[in-house]
Amino acid sequence: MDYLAEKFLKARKIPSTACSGCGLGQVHKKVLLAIDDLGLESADIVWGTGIGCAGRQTFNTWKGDNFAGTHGRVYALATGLRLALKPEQKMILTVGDGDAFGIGLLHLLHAVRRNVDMTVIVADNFGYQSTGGQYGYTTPSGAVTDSSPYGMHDPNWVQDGRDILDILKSAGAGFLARHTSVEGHNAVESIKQAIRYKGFSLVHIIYPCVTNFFGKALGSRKPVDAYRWLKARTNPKQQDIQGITFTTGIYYQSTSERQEFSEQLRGFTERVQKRCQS
Amino acid sequence: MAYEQKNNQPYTVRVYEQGCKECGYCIEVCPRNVFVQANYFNDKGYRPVQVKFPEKCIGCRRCFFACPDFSIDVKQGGKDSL
Ligand code: SF4
Ligand code: SF4
Ligand code: SF4
Repeated sequence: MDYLAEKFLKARKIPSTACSGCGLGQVHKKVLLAIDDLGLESADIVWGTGIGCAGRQTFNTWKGDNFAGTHGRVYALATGLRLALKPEQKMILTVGDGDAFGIGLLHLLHAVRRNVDMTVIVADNFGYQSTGGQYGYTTPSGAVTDSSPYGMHDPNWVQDGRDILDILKSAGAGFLARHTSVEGHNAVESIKQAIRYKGFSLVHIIYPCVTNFFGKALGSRKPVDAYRWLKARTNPKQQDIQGITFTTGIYYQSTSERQEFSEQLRGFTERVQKRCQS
Repeated sequence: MAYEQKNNQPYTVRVYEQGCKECGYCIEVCPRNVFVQANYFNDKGYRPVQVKFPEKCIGCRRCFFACPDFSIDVKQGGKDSL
């Protein structure tokens, strides 16, 4: 394994059990690069994971402390954990699109509402791929999947004027970015800013599921075909691209500071305690 | 067969054969055709990629970013830098 994996990941977990060409490793690596660039060590970060391929393949890989919450519960666990951790300790969560934008969306929104200090990395593979490739909340419109044999008919969170990041922004998220796993330094820079941000931050990263999504949608399980498809739709310069395209970069960065959840609660309990003593 | 890395090359590229899953991304993104696929299998049953022309590498690290399986390192300097 490379120097990054050797430095930060458990040896028995690498190589992972992910399929050949699965883009999750590209996402994982970018997060590690950001951590390394920031000069953070294993003990500085507590790593949380969700369910599905994104959760499973990053689960317990971090050499430092790990925790996991299935089916969208990890944001609620992270909220509680935030109160127990030292304020300077970072929390990074690697979750999937179903976990964050579907089954766990309410928990996610409440973590945003409270401005809980954590960085959520949503590794998006366009649906429920670990169960065979059923459509989800970001499946491109018209895509043939296991559960949409005539094409994706259900409105998703990322097309036709809807954007899930817009909802998170309205709910109070202070730092939001979108990238694809085929990008390089620009994505690492966004992740670094997200980790540095004191409060809730989220980076949405689209990656290729070669086996289930592209196997059905493109009729090819050749990793390079999926890679080229995603590369052609990765759009950092906001060009006019036909069909689904992913505008990448920082989506929103708040200029005013909102008090962080654990700081607010610590301050509040201190005030209450003083009042009770007097 | 293994290809030799030298000490007078500007960059050294290393593929960790046992971690490689034969996805072909490094071959796809490398602008200098540094890689070829081996004709044998690793312990997981994949034909790993080999660094055939290390002296051609320009150190762009595209292969490093593209490899999903933590199986490529690119370092400045000759083979002793790894
Ligand atoms: S099923 Fe898809 S997302 Fe899951 S490990 Fe395989 S390629 Fe990756
Ligand atoms: S660093 Fe660039 S030139 Fe060198 S092997 Fe990797 S992709 Fe090819
Ligand atoms: S990108 Fe990595 S896993 Fe894929 S063929 Fe190259 S070395 Fe092997």
